[in-house]
Amino acid sequence: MNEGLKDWLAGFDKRFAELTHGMVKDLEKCLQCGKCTAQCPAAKVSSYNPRQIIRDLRMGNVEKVISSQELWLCFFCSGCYAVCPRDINFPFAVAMLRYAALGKGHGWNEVKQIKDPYAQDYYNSGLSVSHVERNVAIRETVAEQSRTDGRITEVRKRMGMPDRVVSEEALAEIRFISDATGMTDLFDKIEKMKDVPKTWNYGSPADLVKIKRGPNQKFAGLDEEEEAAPAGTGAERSE
Amino acid sequence: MPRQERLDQVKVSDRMFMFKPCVGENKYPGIINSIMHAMPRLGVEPVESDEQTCCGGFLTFTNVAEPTSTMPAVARNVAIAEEMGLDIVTMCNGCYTFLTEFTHFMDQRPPVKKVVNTILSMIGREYKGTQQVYHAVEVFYKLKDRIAERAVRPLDGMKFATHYGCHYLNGFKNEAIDDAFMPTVLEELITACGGTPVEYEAQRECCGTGLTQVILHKEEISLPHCQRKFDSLNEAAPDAVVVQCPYCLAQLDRMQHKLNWRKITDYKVPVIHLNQLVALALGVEVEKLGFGAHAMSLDRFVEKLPPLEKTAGAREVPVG
Amino acid sequence: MARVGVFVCHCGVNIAAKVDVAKVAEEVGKLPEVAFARDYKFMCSSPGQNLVKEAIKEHGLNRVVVAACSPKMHLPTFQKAIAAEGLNPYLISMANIREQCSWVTEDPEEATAKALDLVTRQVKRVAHQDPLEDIDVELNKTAIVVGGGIAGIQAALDIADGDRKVVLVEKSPSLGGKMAQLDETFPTLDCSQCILTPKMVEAAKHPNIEIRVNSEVATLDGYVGNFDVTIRRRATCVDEERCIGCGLCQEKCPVKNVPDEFNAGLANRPAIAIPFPQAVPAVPVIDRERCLKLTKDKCGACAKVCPADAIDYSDEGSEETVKAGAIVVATGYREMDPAVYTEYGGGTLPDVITGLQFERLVSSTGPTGGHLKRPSDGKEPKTVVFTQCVGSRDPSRGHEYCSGICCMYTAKHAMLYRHHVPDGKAYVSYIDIRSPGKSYEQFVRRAIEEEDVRYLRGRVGRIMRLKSGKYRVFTEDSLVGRPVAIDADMVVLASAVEPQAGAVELAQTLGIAYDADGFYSEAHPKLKPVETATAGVFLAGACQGPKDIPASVQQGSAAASKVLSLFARDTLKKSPQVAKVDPTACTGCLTCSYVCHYSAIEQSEFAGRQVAEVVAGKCQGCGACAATCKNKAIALAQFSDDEVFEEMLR
Repeated sequence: MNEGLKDWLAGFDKRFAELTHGMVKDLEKCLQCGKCTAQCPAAKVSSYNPRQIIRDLRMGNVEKVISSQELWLCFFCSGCYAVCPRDINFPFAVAMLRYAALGKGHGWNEVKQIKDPYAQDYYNSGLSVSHVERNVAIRETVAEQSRTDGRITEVRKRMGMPDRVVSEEALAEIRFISDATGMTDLFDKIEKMKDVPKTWNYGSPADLVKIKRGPNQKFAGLDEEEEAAPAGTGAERSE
Repeated sequence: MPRQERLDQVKVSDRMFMFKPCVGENKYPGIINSIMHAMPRLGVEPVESDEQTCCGGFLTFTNVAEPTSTMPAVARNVAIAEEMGLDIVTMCNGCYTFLTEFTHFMDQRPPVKKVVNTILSMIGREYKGTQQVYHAVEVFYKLKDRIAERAVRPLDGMKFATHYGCHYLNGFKNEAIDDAFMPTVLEELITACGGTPVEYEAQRECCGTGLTQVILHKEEISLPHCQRKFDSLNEAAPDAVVVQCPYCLAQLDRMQHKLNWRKITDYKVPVIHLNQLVALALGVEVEKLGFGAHAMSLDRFVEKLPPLEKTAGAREVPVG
Repeated sequence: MARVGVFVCHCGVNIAAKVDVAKVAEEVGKLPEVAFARDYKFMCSSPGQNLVKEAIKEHGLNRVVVAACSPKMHLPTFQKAIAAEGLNPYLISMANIREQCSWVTEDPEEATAKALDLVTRQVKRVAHQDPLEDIDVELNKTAIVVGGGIAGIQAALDIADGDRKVVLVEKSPSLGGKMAQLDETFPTLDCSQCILTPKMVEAAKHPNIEIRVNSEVATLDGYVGNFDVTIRRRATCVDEERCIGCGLCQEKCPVKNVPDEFNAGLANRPAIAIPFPQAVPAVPVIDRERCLKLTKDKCGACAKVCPADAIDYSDEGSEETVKAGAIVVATGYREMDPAVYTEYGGGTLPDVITGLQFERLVSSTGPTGGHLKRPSDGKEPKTVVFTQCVGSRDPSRGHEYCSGICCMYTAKHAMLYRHHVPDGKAYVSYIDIRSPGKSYEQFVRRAIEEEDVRYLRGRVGRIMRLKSGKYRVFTEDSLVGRPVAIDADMVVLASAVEPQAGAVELAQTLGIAYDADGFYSEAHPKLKPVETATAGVFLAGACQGPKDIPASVQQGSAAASKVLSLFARDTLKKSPQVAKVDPTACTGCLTCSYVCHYSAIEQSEFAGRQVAEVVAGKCQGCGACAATCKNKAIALAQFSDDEVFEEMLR
């Protein structure tokens, strides 16, 4: 029996529905026409290929999809959805597939990098983007242009804006929601989970497009440009 | 070409809730300050609340939080506006997407809405689904003629490129206010503000933020993508590029800056948000627009601005 | 006094294996109405039929019930058999104890009981059936063919060659349809006009064909064999009889910028113009919206120069009602406007053109004299992308169906392009290749293998205009799995085949059905491709669904053969199972006429008041009127109250 067909014969729809809690169920409409990949920005700079991924899912090669590096390269621009003649909401499928991948251990590294600092900032301050500017180059530029010390709180003051502080009651409310619905627990889990390495299943790093006019990915001055803020320390309210 | 059906659905009230975007608050606060000052000049009282938090959508689609957690958070934010009886104006493609999608999801599935409201009831709130969610571009477009009439600083001689971004037009391909591939609302608004829209080949390309790509795969995915956009944009040499989303703004602004910093490019196009454009045309003082926070300097842009036509800049127009 | 003969068939084992047919015959024989009953192995066979005939003679039967298969199978067989014995063929009824009994019941006892019940009901019913005579309907042996494209021309020629008269009605100023706009045809690469114009001329010269161009069917009344068709000719201001086709008028006309429909909008024409050089008839038409004389009472140049005095500005058009016995609808298709695809430029990009426009560019009678030039700057395109499936196979913004001809004409276009520009690069972007006809697959392979047309499997996602004036076409080579961008000088969109403008309104005028896409509905998708559900109205060509030229010609001839069969006799025999109004009970509310799908009920008069009257020739015996009438004033033959109640209420 052909290995590639085995999963399909075993009942694709059921398996995929299980993996995505039944949320993604219109992939059989795909004509494999390729309009999605044709205009996909991620496909132009890597081996990511939405049409191919749908094909693999339909043929039961689910493991190939959820263990791939490529799955994590989608831009969520919804361009594929915009051109699709069957109105398949592929970004939504990607989001669901990423949950499935996490379930198999893939992608925890990616998720860690979002949890710290963004999700943590949300829990601590109510906003996913901290007022702390970690990029030195930006901080310096803003300081020069706004004639302040570069802190965004100062820039706001200059304009006559109040400090943006989410009220304590509101913070209590969102923390309650987070605790009650398992978000807090998920944050803890993200801390602890070990990432199972992903592989380039649709191509290789050689497909990645390099930035023009740069000989390699490391640039002189890169280290001076960015200050590595220690990850996982949460929002730094003092400066 | 704008969609008349959607335009007909947009109702401008004399008080509307301004939904403040996170990237706006702490990176480009000018986006928020400009709409707070622009709206009164159009007869709308902008209402804000510090109880409002991040919309929650970003966390969902980056898989750090499941929809079961973020849907109540979104519903809570909408409930705040509902309690005041106000429709919501978002100024970010992401906020618009998440608030709209999640509320539609709940409205179409009463059992889900019930569960969400059970959680909300424990914090003394309720999501009813009585209010509308709009994007600032929809509201401004509806008020296009009013903007043109009340523009005390028409931006004559200023050339603007546009960047609509992806989520709003693509994600709502049938319901958004304009067509996904050949939109004109921003160009029309630029004209209403007195400016001249300028074309460039990569106009409808994604900014390259890619939700997380700029965080996770900046060097290998995000930068190579947007470099092409910047090349095309700079060739057209507008005075600024207008965006309708703070995430796009951050990307176009900071990545041009980064590539310049590395001395591999000499990009020159500064980036402003639609709110700032409209505020400028309506005569809001430049100091209130937060240009200092923009990495790509707006100094030359500000020098080129035409003077206010009428005196007494901060003329508050009576409501209505 | 009814004397019913009952014949219970075994149908081999089909019935007998479940139903105890002997018992059924025996039990039924005890009914008072039954004069004779028996079972037999195969009633439809010759011996079986003979049994019926003999029994009629021997037992003086005046009614017959055959308990067997579905009446749809053999009712006519038995009707003929009893008619041969002098019994009216409508004095028979069948009990379906096969499809509705033995084939669907598991338990033999239940099956036998049910069979007995079914047969008993038919016995009771048939006793109330009255003899009926077939209705003779007179017919008019003129046919109207609506549409002068290749399907309509073929139909008209075949009917005319069958010695019947045809009126060929065409909306545009000339015969020819889409085929006249084509350059070469697949798979032979014959010059389209060269094979078409002889047929156009033959139709024009045929003594049995009357051609009416610039005309449309305005109303259709009547029924099969007896249609009244009102044909409206629009005002052309040129007298067809007098015009000698010299063309001086169009030379002298000062208005030169009317968009040319024949050239698919790629060129302009004067306000008075013959549509194309080979037009049949070669008579110009004045465009009423653009003519200076008609709009501003100026100019008048054409009248001044016309050597035949054929211009008549006072022409208002005309209407005429023609009597006909049959209609063939051959109104063709329209090419979809791809402007809805804003990802392809939404119609604003001058060198992104449709298939028909490409035909005009490569045609020697086209706006560029057959030289392939970009509409934007007149330069020869060196790279062309032909993109298939624009508007087809797209439920989101186009049509769900496949248009059927684009794979073939795209291969043709690509080869024509390569013939015109030997150093040019041709790319075809496709999802699948559909090449089912004779020599079609070989034609496509020729494009790929011999003419260096590069086929990429992937639908175009985006077309972007570059500053350089070229177009960047984003597609995918899905067989390799990578996106591809091609910088092209010209893009040809294989735009979908759609129903003609006004197709739905015409269907409503003609009283024929159409499907969700707007194509006209055939009576049966497999077995009746050229008939409609409306007797006497036939279909031919692309108006019934997308198809190529050979299929259109086939349907034209098929429709013609249906018409000639219809016209073969002097009268039409029609089933007498029609409705009839009892005018003494009718209140004249005409509710029945509103529920009649066949427009078979008319207003009439009886004893000085308004009543309804059934036109027997049109009535299809559906019974909706009888069910609707509140006064029970209308009855359907063979479905009187007695007959129905006896069958149902036991």
